Amino acid sequence: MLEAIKKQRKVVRALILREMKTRFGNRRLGYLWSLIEPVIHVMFFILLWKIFGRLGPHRMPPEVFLISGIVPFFMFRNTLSSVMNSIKSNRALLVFPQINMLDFSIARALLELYTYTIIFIAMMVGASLIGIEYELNDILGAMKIFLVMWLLGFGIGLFLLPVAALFPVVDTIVAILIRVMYLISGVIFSIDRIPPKYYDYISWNPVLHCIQLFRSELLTGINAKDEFSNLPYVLGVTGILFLAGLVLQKRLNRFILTS
Amino acid sequence: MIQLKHVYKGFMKQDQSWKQVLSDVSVDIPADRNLGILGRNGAGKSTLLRLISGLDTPDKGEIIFNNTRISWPLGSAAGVHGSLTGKENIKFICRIYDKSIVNTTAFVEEFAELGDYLHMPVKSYSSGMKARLAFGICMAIDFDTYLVDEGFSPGDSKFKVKAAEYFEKKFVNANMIVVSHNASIIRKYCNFAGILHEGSIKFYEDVDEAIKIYENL
Repeated sequence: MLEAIKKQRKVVRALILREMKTRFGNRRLGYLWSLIEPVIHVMFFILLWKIFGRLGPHRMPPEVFLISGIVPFFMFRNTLSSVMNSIKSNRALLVFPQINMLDFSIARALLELYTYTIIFIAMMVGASLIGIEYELNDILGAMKIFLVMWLLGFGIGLFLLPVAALFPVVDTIVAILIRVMYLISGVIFSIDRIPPKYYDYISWNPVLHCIQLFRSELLTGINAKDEFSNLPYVLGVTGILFLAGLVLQKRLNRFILTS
Repeated sequence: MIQLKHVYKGFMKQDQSWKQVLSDVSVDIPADRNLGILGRNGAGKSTLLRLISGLDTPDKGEIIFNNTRISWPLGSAAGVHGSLTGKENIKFICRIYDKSIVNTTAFVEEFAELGDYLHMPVKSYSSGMKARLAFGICMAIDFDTYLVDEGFSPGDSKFKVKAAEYFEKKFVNANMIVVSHNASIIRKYCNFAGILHEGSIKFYEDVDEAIKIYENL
């Protein structure tokens, strides 16, 4: 058992190193690109708020609000889509008997987690260096929520992988849904702007819960609304999707391999 | 030993009709024998090879490998990534097979004669160079069973001689499974033969007998 885990760790490590090379190329600039995307998004919305006046959040600098929303969201989004596509882009590697399909998903998901953890730290430090003030609350607690959000993206990706193999149209639907999620998860627009009578319609969204919880753990003086800080709900959704994904993947093995 | 247990496999052809390639195939492939599988074009030889190499799974039944280390089909460069350099591909394969990167690189460098191309992306290689790289890596790793596809030809005639030399050395400790429509390859290397025909495989202890039957099909 221990031997098997050791072997698996070696395989996943090799896959991560390979993925880094194929994704970012041999140019050092490759890594910089993944940093540039969230920075541009933050700058764009800051500019928008400057032009259209105060639409930003209360109680914290808009830069910090955006960084603490956009970076975890991108981490979630990329984990989801890279897990979902992990077999499509690695199928040829199944000639190596020691690699199984789940290894691809684990390797890609871990790479997203590492990348966005570094990006988040870099952007928070960067914000502090240019004079934006914020007070950190509970770093460990924030890390925990970041991980939960990663698991959520991982779980959804695992679930969608076999589903998309059966129905290719799912790829397109997911791409659209992710754009919608970006807008309705409190990532760039504060949830305070939404009248309470609509809360029932948006509280199903586990990403919203994650973002709210993340900000309240990360920053002093920020409290998540009770309606949107249901950690057990998020964990439940994650667990169910994980299990369903693994079962479906086993059942639909053939479709996945030939799709 | 590799065991096939009641293996079924079929696929949908382009005209939407179903083609059953294997039905209820059971066989033990002993570790000390070289198996040659004969089959006409379209009989399902490639499908069988994909099943044994793990690129595909049976519709029904199972294939048990019993810790046999099986190579990827020789000559195919599956698993070699185009945007990685030859060296980076070697590194990856060494990592998953737990081989020394330094020794393996040195071996492949000498064997495949790629020169500076070793440090260039594989997509810039000619097909011969790619085959030499994949073949070289395959030789560097000690597999128990080598899979040989019929289309296998590693580059020019000078390299072929060298490859055959290394290959024969390998078979002191390893065996192979050859899939071909060409009887002469199988006569040369194999001491156990099967004929893949109309969805089933029949096995023959006597290779010459198998070839005779195959030629009269």
